[in-house]
Amino acid sequence: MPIDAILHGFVVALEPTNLFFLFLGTLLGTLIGVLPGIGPSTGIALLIPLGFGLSPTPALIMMAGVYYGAMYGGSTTSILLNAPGEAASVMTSIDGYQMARKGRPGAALAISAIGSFIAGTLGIVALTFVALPVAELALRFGPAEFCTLILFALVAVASLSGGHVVKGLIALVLGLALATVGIELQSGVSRFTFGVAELDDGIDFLVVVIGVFAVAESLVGLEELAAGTRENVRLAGPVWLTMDEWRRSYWPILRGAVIGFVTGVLPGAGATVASVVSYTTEKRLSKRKEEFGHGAIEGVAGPESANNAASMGSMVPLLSLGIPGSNATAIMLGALMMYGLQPGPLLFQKQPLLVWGLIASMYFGNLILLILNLPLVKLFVKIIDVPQRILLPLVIGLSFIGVYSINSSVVDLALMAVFGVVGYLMRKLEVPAAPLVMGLVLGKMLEESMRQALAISGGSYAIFVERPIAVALLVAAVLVVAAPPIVSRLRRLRAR
Amino acid sequence: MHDRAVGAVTVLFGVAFLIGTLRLPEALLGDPAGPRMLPLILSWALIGLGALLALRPGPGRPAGRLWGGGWRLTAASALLVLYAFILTPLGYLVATTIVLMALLVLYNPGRPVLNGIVAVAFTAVTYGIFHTLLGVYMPKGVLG
Repeated sequence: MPIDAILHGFVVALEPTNLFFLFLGTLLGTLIGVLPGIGPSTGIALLIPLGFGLSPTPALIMMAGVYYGAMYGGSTTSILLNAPGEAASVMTSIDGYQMARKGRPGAALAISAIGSFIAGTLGIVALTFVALPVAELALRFGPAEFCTLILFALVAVASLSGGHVVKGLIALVLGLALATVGIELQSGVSRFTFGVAELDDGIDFLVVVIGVFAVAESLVGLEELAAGTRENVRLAGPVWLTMDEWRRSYWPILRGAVIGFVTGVLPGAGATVASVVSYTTEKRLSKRKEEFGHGAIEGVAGPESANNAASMGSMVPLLSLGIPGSNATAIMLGALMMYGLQPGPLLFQKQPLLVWGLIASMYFGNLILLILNLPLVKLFVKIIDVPQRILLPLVIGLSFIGVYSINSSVVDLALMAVFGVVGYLMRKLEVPAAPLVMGLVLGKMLEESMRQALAISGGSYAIFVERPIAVALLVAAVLVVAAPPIVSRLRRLRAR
Repeated sequence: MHDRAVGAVTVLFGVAFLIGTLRLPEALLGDPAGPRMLPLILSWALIGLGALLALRPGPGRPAGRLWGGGWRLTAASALLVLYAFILTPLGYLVATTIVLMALLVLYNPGRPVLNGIVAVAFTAVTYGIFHTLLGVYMPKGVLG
């Protein structure tokens, strides 16, 4: 255990500049979480340009703060509006909204803040201990192992992102196809640029992400504005718990922390799966199953803790392997690359202060979030009253600036418009956007490692099945696609 | 039955991608895979997956009316494209105010004064933050 490096990380995290950007990041993240309809992915994508002028350490600390801050704050809209900003807080909204309607909105908000804090902190402790060993293990990986690992992560996201597996895979392949656009570095061949000089460097992932998330969300919102309104719950009474509510919550919080972290480390699974597993676990263990769905505090405490522990867990593959396990961490990876960093096993050797500074900052970030979400939550709740009909056009306005600030290119703006409409269509046709983003971010790495492996083997594909780790990862990739349909078919057979 | 259509479009896209891939140069010496390899795999994957989806669509639940936003949605999409064309000639301040104003009219009809204030204030504040504070280049256009 590199105690020295960790302590140095704390020194870095406590530098005034870094503390300031940590505070800014968690604050902005909380705002994003509270704003209905804007999920963490959209928020991170829109805020990446803010970090362009900064040096990497504060930029990274801020982006991470936005990420887990948004995960924290996401519970607020789930509970008060029944409007989860991202899939990971859907489970929270089931019992959280019911608690709010029954006059306990304060307790629901309090337990999600406390649960998030406890589970989040436990998650960071685990991250502190796990990150380096994983990175050291990955140092022994050759191109064949990396190639199959990326393939596994991609396929897992495509398969687990919900809905039809084939549609997830289609989105993934489209993302990989987008990643091939531009001049191919090894041969200097220009691929699919259609003579447009701006495409020589490829399609910027941020253009696509802002298009398919932020712009598409605004377009879907325009459509839904006329359709109907939701019942808002006013936050009355103190944001605190009774003793009995606390007694019912602490085991779910601890279980949620473990479930969340482990699920978060696995590529592809992440916060959404963690919250679902936690909810079903709590329901199964509970003596008052009938209360679930009608305002059981365990149903808020467990999933909300799990999704925060998962967001910490998902930092493990991101930092140690350079391979994101979820949508939001894929966007984080893109951000890191834009700031000129390449996460992965070597990052711990080349930039120890940066990595450990980031990890240390997350301890403080969690503390700030506890304060923002417990005593100050009443201030943030006022933001919910900003009408969507004003907010959504402003999201488009921010998208314009965000995209333009990358390369000062109007071609990027036109591409953003195209991807906005594509994202809208994907949403309506229930094609998940997460695999598309993952494919786009990881496409170049996948191709590079594949070609390196083939160069080593002299063109023989056998290299992918001769190495044990590579084989295991390939088998896992096949299983993750094949297992869900087989399991559901078996279940149907048994039900007959 | 949106799934069949999605599958069919995917197949068409895969074929187009395959044609584009086959026009790329072949692998060179010492680079057994070459620039063609991945695109080739991807285009066949698209064709295969698209065909699979078209032949075996998911349980057909209605995904809501496609393009249910009607002319408003078309207008909003057109405004997105328009912005890319008018930003350089008109400049950030003018172009953003115009397009944002138009978007606000679509989203929040019947409140011209409020929409005007929001559009102008947003443009001014973002210009202050991104141009003045963060040093992002913004085209000056007609005001330059």
